[in-house]
Amino acid sequence: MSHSRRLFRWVGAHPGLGIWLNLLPGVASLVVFVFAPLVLMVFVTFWRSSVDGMEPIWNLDNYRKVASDPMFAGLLLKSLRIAVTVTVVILMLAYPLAYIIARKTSRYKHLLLLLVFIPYWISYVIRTYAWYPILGKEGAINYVLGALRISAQPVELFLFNEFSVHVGLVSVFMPFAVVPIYLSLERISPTLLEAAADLGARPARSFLHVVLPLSLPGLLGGALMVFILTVGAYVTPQLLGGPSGIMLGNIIADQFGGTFNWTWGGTLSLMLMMVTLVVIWLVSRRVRVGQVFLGD
Amino acid sequence: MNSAGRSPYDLEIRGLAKTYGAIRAVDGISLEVERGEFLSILGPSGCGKTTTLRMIAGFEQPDAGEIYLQGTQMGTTPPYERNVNTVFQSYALFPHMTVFDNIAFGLRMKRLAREQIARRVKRMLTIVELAGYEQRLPHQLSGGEQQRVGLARALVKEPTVLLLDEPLGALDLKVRKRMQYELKRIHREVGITFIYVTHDQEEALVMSDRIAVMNQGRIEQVDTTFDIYERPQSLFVADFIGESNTFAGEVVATGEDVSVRCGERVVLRGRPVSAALPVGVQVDVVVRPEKIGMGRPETSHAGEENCLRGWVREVVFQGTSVKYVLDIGAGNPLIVHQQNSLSYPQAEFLKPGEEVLALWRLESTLVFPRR
Amino acid sequence: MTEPILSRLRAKAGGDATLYAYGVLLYLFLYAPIVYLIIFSFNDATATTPPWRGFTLQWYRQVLQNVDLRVAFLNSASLGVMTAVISVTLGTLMAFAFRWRFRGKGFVFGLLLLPMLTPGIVLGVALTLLWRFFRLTPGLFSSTLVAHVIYTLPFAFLIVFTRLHRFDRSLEEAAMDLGADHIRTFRHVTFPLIRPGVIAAVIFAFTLSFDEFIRTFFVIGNENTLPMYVWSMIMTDSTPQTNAIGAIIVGLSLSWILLGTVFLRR
Repeated sequence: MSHSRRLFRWVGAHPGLGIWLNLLPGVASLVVFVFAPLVLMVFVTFWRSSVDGMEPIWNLDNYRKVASDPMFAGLLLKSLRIAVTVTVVILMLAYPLAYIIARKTSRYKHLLLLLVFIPYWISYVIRTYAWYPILGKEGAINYVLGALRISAQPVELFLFNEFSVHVGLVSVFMPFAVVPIYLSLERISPTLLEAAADLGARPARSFLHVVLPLSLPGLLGGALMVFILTVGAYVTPQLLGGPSGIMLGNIIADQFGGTFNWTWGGTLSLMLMMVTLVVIWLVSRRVRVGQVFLGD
Repeated sequence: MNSAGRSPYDLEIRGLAKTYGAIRAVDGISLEVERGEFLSILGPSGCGKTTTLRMIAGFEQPDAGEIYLQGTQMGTTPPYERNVNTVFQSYALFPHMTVFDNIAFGLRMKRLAREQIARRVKRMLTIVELAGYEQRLPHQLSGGEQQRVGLARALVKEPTVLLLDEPLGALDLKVRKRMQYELKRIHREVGITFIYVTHDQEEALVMSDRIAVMNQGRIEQVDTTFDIYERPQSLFVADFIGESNTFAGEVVATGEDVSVRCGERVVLRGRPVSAALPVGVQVDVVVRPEKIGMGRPETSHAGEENCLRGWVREVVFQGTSVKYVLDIGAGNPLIVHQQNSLSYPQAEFLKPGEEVLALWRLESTLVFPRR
Repeated sequence: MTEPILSRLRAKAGGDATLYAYGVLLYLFLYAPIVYLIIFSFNDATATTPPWRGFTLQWYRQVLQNVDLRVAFLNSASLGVMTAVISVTLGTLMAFAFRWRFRGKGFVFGLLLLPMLTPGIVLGVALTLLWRFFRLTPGLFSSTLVAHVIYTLPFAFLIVFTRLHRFDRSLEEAAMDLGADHIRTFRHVTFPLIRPGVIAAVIFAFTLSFDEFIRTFFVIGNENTLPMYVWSMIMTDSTPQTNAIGAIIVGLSLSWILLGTVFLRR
């Protein structure tokens, strides 16, 4: 018997060992580069920023600031409000679209799906930037309005405010909701709807009592993804928001750039993480979060 | 160490056991299988038959006990070093390989010469009647054809023992019936020992030389198909194989045969299956529906050992036979099967409400002590 | 397929035309900006806004002559390749482990989803803090590679795992039963069957890495990736050259995605 044979026999007889050998590199990377940094971030919030970056001098200054700084509270609430609005708008737009695709019978179905899938993977920096010359003062919308003589003066309402941030976020993150909703709609067995119809449910009730509850995992999964992406957005508000459209992410980035206050940046990030965890917890009470991603 | 030929058995199992958590899937079973035999392991789902098979194949390690292949102890030998091959219920054909490559797979693993592989695959395809299918992919085949490929793939390796794990379970009834005879023919042709796991008692009866009936991780009885049917050793076996009437009762007289009181006014006479049964013991009496004859109540039947007066409750026409459900006042109703030997148009069956005599011989009455 | 039934749901409601109009509008909303961006990359004017002043390829010529851009592109491409190789290797190994039951599986799964469920900016901050705490030098093939591997790992894992999950394990038993040891079973049966999933995972991991911005923004240090370069162009002065770069990136992403989809379908 050769060595490798013997080794394989031995590993075969101890499957537990093989499992942990497989897991080791991935789990180690995740612990060192995700878990540990997040823990470090929690520590940093209790430290003090210095010329050198940060010093492990334990204090609660950052938390005092969290409690007392009205700018922080305002910004957090604004980011939350924008994230919730964008999530709701996206779900309202995405659900019917996913529904249209799911009920399609023709070969265009896969094309339609692919068309939603593609922007998912195109750089969101580019996709956000694409709105810039459309919404701007000399942009496409104003050009059309001028050409149609609807407004003589260019309207400055479209860019550098909360409106443009909403438009940008909705368009950039919508594919993240359509795909999971579509997948959950696609899985609904037609016999269930036949059964519902057979038992006397009209289409609208069938939808309300069968389709909607069964697509809930996809709906909530999509909502979760969109919310996480939106609440921590940096690119879209930075590019389209102007002074009135900035969100928490922009302030966090400032702490590591011009303002140079790492521990405050860490604290703001932690707050953002907390908000995310609360939302994940809320969603996981209705569906198993893992199930959303594993698709079964 | 290798003692091929010394042992009279192709397969021996001694005290095999396997536990999953708190469940004893296989609870100490022993079994000997002779060379060239067709042995079925029969039992309800969850009785441990598949686990037993998987331990023979080497997919699972037993917690206790030993498996010998032609006298060689298997121990922890991995599946790929055991000279047994398996036909899977799900066929488990490699979807990315053609029929030829599927069948050649095992021979390639043995690193046989190309021509030899081609020759043996070709011969095997002839045996399973799939010549000309070499270049098809599994998904282009019907279920029956896929299972033939699965069979050929395992047989081409000429294993000591071929294991079949409910191989016909996924096929529809007609194909299944045909495949049963096919399998028997192939078994005769190749002369390899077959171990066949099934939950279908009819299938086991049709195909096997011997049947091992399993229940709750244990073997209830191993016998020829005839003995399993005619001389079941336990109520479970009698009940699981074929149809049977079962009556609970108490022994009232004993001797070479026993008399059992079942209900108020019914006393049945029968043969105890194992040890002598003393008076007062609780027993189950079993009689098969086709062993019972029926007569008009006015005629005399003094010669019959069991003769009961009853009333027809239901008549079910089944084509080849007629099933009568009789009320005899023994707790359960008595089911009687009569061959439909009447020729049209005189066909005349008993009608519900009619009074009849049910008659059967002492030898057909099996008495099992209550466990 | 669910369609006939789902369509019957509203067939009688007469809302079909409305639904279709709605669908068209939504696709317009998704694609109009991208199409607009591409069109104006050919505009013979210094502004990226109307009116149309004629067709030119000068912006693409500028792109080709832009040395900084070329460096950024090569950085992104090599980073993407390394990211894809590492994260798909790690993800595939983990996906194999997940076929078994083991203690702490739920915890490991949670750990895997963590980078997916953490806002990108938070991970960027956390990683940059780690690097600064240990006074390490951030760079393309240190901190940035780490950030990208962590970011793409859950995607790679999920794609390969879904593939493995559909895989009938009796196929591997059959291979072993027929005399193939673990290595040969993997080589002849397991890997050929999950290969499309692995390739799809590689393509998607590469694409995600190639486009990644926010984490990179925090941990890149002094080097550049393509999205970082584009960002700096947008923030200073946007010319049709930016549009041209954007159009090229869209074209590249499109071809990778179509390729990946082909493998995912297999």
